[in-house]
Amino acid sequence: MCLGIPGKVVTVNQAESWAVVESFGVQKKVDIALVDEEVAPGDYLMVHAGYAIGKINLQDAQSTLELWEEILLAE
Amino acid sequence: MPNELRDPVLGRQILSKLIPLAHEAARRLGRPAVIMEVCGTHTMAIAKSGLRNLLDGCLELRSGPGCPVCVTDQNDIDKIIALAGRDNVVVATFGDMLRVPGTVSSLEQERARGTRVEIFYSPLEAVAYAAGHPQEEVVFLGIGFETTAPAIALSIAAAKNRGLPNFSVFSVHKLVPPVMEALLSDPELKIDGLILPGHVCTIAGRKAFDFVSARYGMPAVIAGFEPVDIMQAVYLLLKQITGRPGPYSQWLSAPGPGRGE
Repeated sequence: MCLGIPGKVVTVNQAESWAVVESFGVQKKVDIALVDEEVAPGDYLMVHAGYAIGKINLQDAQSTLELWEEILLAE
Repeated sequence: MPNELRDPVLGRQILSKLIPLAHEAARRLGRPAVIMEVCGTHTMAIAKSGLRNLLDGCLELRSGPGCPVCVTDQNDIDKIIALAGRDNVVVATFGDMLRVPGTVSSLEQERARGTRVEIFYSPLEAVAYAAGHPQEEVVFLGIGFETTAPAIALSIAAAKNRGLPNFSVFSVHKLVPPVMEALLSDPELKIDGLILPGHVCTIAGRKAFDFVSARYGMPAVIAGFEPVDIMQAVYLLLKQITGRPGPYSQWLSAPGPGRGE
């Protein structure tokens, strides 16, 4: 239960505050009331016990990869 | 997630940088460096990616206190078991509480004897169950850290909105920073760095963990949960341990105030 699971948003219903996310081939309806940013299909959410607790920032992921590229080239 | 964060080729390249650095840290310390991952989700990711074995001999990755089930007091487990034995009560829980032993029994053993214990992935499912079973008293076990508490709070709000008198929560939530504080103030603790959970920072904000380095001088890195994220955290920690901090810290995202604050 303490596991956070990343999922990609498939559909969103802002009015009823839920989204369907897919992770590892499984689709699941999750509550998005805790996410204070706008959620759109294609976004990645960190899901925890049926609730999305935040949007995963793909730019951060990109920076991680760029950082590694730099480390691997520099050393 | 971008698949690159799980890319085995990139992973091997990174590993070829990590291993010499880990050996250097081990030489400096006179023993393999010990890095503790605080959170159970990191423990899972480390196990799945095989990182622990890949670094075996030059670096020890040790699991920290981030499993709310393991840190739940036996007293509380006994209370839960007593609750489960009452007429009309259905104990609703996340699956991982089932086998945790109390003084004389566990929920699993009690269930085998006929006690009503229902397992749910989300507290909202337990609310729906309560709505469908008005004659039963559904008690959800509120066990978890910062990441679980908001979900359970929202399920209470949902039950209230639906006017359900038969849904309640037995709350034994814990906060991560005090657990860390207890751990770090233990003089017998020998660890050299901490990997902090990104999703707890999502809820609690990064500042909740500032004391780790400010008060205890312990190197700490907030990390995501993909193998490359974790290797990055290990790399940055080893850089600090070997006294060669790279110019990389600006890349670490510093989440602002968390949603739970």
